[in-house]
Amino acid sequence: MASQEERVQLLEDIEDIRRLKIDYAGVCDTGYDGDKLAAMFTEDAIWDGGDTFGVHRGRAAIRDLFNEISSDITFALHYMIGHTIDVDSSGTKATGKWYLWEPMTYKGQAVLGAITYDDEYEKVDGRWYFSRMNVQIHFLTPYDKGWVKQRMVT
Amino acid sequence: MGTLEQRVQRLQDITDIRRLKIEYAQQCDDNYNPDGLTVLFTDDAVWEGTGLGRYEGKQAIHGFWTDASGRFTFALHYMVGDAIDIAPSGVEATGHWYLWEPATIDGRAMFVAATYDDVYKKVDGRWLFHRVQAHSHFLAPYESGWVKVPFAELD
Repeated sequence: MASQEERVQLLEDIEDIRRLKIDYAGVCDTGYDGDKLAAMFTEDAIWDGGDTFGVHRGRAAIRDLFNEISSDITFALHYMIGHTIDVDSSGTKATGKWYLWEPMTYKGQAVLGAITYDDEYEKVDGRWYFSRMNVQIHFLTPYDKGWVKQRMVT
Repeated sequence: MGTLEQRVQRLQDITDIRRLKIEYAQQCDDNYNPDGLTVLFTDDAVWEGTGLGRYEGKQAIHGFWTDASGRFTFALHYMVGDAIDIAPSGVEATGHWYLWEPATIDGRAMFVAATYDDVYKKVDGRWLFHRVQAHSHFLAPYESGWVKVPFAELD
């Protein structure tokens, strides 16, 4: 068992990382400000949206991605749920898994998004950042179709 | 940074406030139990919600829930994504939350999407709601979705 100081530090790190993800959701839901979102990532971070959204490396690419997304997604609420966060023994690296439920308006249509995340985090100068975000899209379905009839919106 | 004692206290306060919000959800989902909800508020608390009005003081808040229990015959409050900040005083705090709520309102299936800005106060060692601001993003009939009908006309 670690010292009391280390145990408290672990709980604080988990809370700070949890908050980082919630703050990310909050910026997405108020217009996807590319600068604010990019500032939550390390300089050389990777945002990997797979086949749908592509792989974006570095803060500048991540900023451009979000500035572009906001023209198609005019409304969204990111319900970030069910996190498992593990801080490694160095205390400066961590991993996290999350669920996302996302009702949104995409190109003028009501769309339901079901997504999971595999994240990596790094602590730089006492502050946690995303160093990698892997985004698995399970469905992005038009609300009036449902995910069996049409898994991905066009 | 604070002493170890202060750091543990802050983590406990966040956990207690999170629990307060979840208990609020449970009371809402118990047919908006007016008594169960009202005890979660300070005497001079304010509850306000987009399209639902503003209620100041325990009596007004109690009346609002009594009315709600007749109209919302079913609801589940999924409270998600809390961002809670404890003030340096240790007896005041703010919180932001997301709510996803499938509900039956006036006999119709609805999806409600809302966010909250809350203010909490610690009174006699217990956290209470001092202010709840519910921002509705949509209150959409299940059949139509939020683009066609963002806010259902309620009776």
